[in-house]
Amino acid sequence: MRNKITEEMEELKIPRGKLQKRLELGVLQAENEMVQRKKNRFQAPRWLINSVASAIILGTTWTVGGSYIADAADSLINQIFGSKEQVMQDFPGESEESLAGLEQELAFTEQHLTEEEFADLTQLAREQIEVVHQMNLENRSSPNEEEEKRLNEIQEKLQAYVKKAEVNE
Amino acid sequence: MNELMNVKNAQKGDKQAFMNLIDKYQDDIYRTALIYTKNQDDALDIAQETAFRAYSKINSLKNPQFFKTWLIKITMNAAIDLLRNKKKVTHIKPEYTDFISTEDGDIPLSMTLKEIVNKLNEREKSVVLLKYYFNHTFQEIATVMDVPIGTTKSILYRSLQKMRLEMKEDDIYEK
Repeated sequence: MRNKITEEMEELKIPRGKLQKRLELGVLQAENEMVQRKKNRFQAPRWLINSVASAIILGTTWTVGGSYIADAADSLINQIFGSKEQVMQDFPGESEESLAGLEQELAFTEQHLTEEEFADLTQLAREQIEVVHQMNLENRSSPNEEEEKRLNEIQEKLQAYVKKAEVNE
Repeated sequence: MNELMNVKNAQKGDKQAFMNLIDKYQDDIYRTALIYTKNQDDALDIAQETAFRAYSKINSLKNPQFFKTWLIKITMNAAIDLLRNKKKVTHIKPEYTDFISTEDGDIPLSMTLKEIVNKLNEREKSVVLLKYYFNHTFQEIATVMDVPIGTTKSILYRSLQKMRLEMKEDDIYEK
């Protein structure tokens, strides 16, 4: 049986030239998508990048084009942060595409972490956005010492979760 | 350069290393795809999708020594996904049921492959190919397909019955 199938399989002719081109095309597509992902990463405000860059905000894993994010009430951004408008308000200048990256990243971590871990991650992300929100309310462009310390702690935990999700992928 | 080295380099972003790997297994990818799709155009689509998925996800491969198995699993999943999508749109053309198209024209399938292509469903094809073409053990098949070993044996038994072939005792009691 084994020999028969192997022999018959090996008799199937391979369209060598076409196959080679299609394989190269597949790799090229993957490369292009990787470049696109990098472009679509959520860009955090400069002060945030310099000091307390968030794993969630920076988006270290998985982003796609702007069509992903929905206005639907069940989007993860809506569930976690109240609404995408709220996030846009706290991070003025960010694009819909950037938010799509955040939504995609949240979906990725949700898929690859336990329920408990994801709940903790969302709580941390929520707390982080709340600090930024408070800064905006008080017209401050950078966090105070206490906030920065807490943001650094949150950042460390969030990065650990993102790494864990990547390992679990 | 050996395969393990190529996998490790590919995981570091070395495109040429990845191309070396995909070139090595391109025949297996194509032939596997053909068994599911029954026609050359779809098999080529699956080959492209396999290259896309494998290159995108190469970093998720934890054990580089299992690269081939991992790649074939991607091929099978891509084939099944394509068939599912097609079922939503159209039925497979009847003329494809007995023939596999090649660049030299349509040729009749040899007897055993014809049985596999026409009588088995996707899961059964996977088990038969993994068992008899890729020489995997039941344990390995169970891991690839994410089902218990007993299930792989049942699927193989059922497949051979459908093909009106008898399963040898060795097939069932192998280690």
